[in-house]
Amino acid sequence: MTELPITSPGRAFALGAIDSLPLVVAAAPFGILFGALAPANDIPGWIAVAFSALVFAGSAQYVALGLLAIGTPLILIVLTTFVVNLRHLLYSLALAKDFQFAPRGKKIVMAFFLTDETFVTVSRRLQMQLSENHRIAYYFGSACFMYGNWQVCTWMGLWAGSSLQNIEQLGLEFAMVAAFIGMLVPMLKHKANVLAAIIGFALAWFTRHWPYQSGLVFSVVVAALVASYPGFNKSEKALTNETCASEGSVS
Amino acid sequence: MNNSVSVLLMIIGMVTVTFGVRMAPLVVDHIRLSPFALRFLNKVPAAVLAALVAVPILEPTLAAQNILQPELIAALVCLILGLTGVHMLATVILGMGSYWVLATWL
Repeated sequence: MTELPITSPGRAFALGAIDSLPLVVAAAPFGILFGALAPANDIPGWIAVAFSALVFAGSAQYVALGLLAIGTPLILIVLTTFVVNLRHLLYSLALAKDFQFAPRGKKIVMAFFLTDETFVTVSRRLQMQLSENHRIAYYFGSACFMYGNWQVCTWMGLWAGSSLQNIEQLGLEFAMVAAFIGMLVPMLKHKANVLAAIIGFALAWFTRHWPYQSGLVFSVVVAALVASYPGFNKSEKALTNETCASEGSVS
Repeated sequence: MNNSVSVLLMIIGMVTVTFGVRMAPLVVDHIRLSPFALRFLNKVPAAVLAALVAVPILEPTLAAQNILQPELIAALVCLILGLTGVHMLATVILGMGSYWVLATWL
């Protein structure tokens, strides 16, 4: 990370954006792929655009798009979005103390833009010290860069997905599997996550015929419950260390 | 495909739950989660991702009654690449590449 002297909120904003660059670049292909998957799954483009602009949560958007494509009841898609995004509770919780001084209105806007990437960037910089006067500007520097990039990439993907021919023959469905495995692997540094993944995988397979994707929710809850048994979490370090393990994952 | 109004309602629901989860601890002071709840939440991402890939990876194998399916092999390629420390993005690209090659061959 660069050591620019932060002398003004403007500089703090710029530094927030600069620090986020590697993660923004890493998120770009996922944004493009997300946009391209909508037409590939016969989902109207406005839904993909609305997901990116309003929900702004990469992995949850992928999951919702996938569920929508197979005709899952909409209420279950909302429920799954909730479960997938529960980890943001951890991020928000971890940031709450450092932003206690901020006015409530600003905190509400900040919360809208809270992604894995911005969380990782901001908490790293906070560990290196960042004065209260510049924290909010720094946060928004990171958040705006992430947000703008995600919108542009979604549109690009949408364009590519609807104008390229035979896109369904490119095996883009498998891209989602590859992306999910790519996001999962860095989490496997922790034994408890390995257990959660194995149980989740196996249960999801055996409950695949349950109606309305209920087997999926069941599998996730059971896997996470078993893996959170204290005996499997002996080596667990501080909260931020664990959440940083998912660095590089999509918002 | 569901009609537009219900999809709109779904999007509103998704925005509400996502925003709510991101906002609650920041805005409401002194939210305390039990250590168990924290450990549980920490395991959710890994569990979700693994659960989501199970059917797309295994279904083709069952359908074809043959274990040598491109989905399964390419998924293993992704897993091995990731575990050997290849960058996430490279893992995804190489995984896709191996899927294309395998789908053409098998």
